[in-house]
Amino acid sequence: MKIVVAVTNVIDLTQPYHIPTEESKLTSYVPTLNPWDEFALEAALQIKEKYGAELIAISVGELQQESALRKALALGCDSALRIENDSKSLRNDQIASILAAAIRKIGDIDIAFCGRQSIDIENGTTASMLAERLNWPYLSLISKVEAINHGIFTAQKSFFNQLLTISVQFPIVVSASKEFGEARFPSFMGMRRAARAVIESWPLLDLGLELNQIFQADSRIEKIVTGPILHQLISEENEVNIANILDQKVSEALS
Amino acid sequence: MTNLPVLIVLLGTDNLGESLSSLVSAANLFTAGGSQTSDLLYIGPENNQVLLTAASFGISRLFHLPINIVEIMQKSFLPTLENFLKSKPFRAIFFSNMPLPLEISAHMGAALQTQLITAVDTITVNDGITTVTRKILAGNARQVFNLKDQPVILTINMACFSAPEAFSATHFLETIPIANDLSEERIKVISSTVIQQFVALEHSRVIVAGGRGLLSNPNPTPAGIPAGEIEQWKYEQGFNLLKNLAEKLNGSVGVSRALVDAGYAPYELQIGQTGKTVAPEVYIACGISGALQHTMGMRHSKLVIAINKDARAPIFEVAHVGVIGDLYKILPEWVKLRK
Repeated sequence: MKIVVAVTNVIDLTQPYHIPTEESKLTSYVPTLNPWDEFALEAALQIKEKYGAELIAISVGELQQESALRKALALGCDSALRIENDSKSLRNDQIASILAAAIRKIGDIDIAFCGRQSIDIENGTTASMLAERLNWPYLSLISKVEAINHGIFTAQKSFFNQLLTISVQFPIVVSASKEFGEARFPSFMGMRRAARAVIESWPLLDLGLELNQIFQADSRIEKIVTGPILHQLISEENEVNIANILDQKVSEALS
Repeated sequence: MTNLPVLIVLLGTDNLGESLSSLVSAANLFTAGGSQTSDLLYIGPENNQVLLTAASFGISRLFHLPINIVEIMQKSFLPTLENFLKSKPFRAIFFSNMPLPLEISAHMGAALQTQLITAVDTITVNDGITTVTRKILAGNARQVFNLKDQPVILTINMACFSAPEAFSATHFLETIPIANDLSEERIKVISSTVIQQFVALEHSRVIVAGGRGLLSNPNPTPAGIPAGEIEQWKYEQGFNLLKNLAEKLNGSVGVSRALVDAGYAPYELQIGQTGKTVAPEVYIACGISGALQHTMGMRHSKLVIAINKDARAPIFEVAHVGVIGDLYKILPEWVKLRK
């Protein structure tokens, strides 16, 4: 079985970062592996441990993405591949096209794992778009793998007040929910191995891909001023009055 | 081009009443001042309520793709939907920003080579230019898109669009069935169990959340509780207080990470960066200091009320209404008020 896990660095929102007026200039931040990609990695690693699989971590972007790939290697991926691209304003449909072309070029992939969404821009569309590009079925937010047998993948997914057991034939695109379990920590040996690993990189041109240029609206970024939003501070009043004021606020907000 | 109709897509898995009113409200803002009409595409089992609600909102054309709920999850209708959307030009297509509609909108965006903007929270029209915005970077910034005449797909952050005015005139709704040309399901359902239906934190309109402050319970501990279990007792008292208030306000209870890490509260209730991200109408933070990892999970909430004894607690920086006081004195009065 051969599995790719698409990973990416995102902005570590707990660290300081600069908010420019254009998305392409959003470059001054501390990068960190996207937490949702860690859940996908965890799911893939559990499959590798139980059923045996070759895991390939893949990322699209500039050299900076290597730290995300090294973390994936440290956790237990067998190899890592970066598709070189310096553009800072790739859209998700373009990333999906690049991933699809890379997956075709690698060949014989059974599962393409994706994170649910990035924690910084939060679109959550790449996995669906990748499935569309590959014309593979997409199993979203699975919570447990039940069985993998003769190319049939059986998993659990909660859907509309039901817990479904569903099965589908390889190849597939999959994203994992949080219920899959907390992401593990890399082992010391894994970190040493990852630090020394040579990460393969393919120029985008090698994929022979013409990036689709769909019409885009003009866009910009505006910083939301996070000054004090407090418009009422209540202190030194008796509790009954406070309860009345708060209840009134809640009633207004819900009406 | 600008006179093309807009299309609202409603799925049988959506919360029908609420989703439809938010979607119509968003579509009305989009078409404000123009002469476009809004059509509705309903994908799901026969439902008279959808018909009536759509008519009451002034929608005159309803396209219906009749499939059952599980077939929506299997997504074998996607080619039918793609063909339908390719055969009829629309100015804009609206989905709700729930997980399944988002997946479908992303698939259509890629298939139709049309720009997709997700989690839209405002729509305005000024001098003929339509502007939509969405929040990014945990609410610290917004992306602003100035739309031109090209078609666009939007997913709507439903909490941000309230119900539109009902349409008063007598109204005729034309229903147009779509040929149910389903390809074979690639995703097969082996079995299903009904799980307990509870209001998930993400869908609650009101959340009453507690933090470490629950452990500073001033009430005297009853005799006979071993010293090692006093904190547990204090937590349970506090939790019940939050639960009582949440029930009165038709809401749910959440907690901060401190209580989960201490082993008092289950992980499913945790709100924050490594827990759930919520955006209710009302978020009441009780005894929560407000570390960034917590506020990242709740700062989209429309009204944040913070109750904390410590006037310097950072939670007051993200609160609209702050109370410097003891939750153990205020919440019981609040519960009494709602009796």
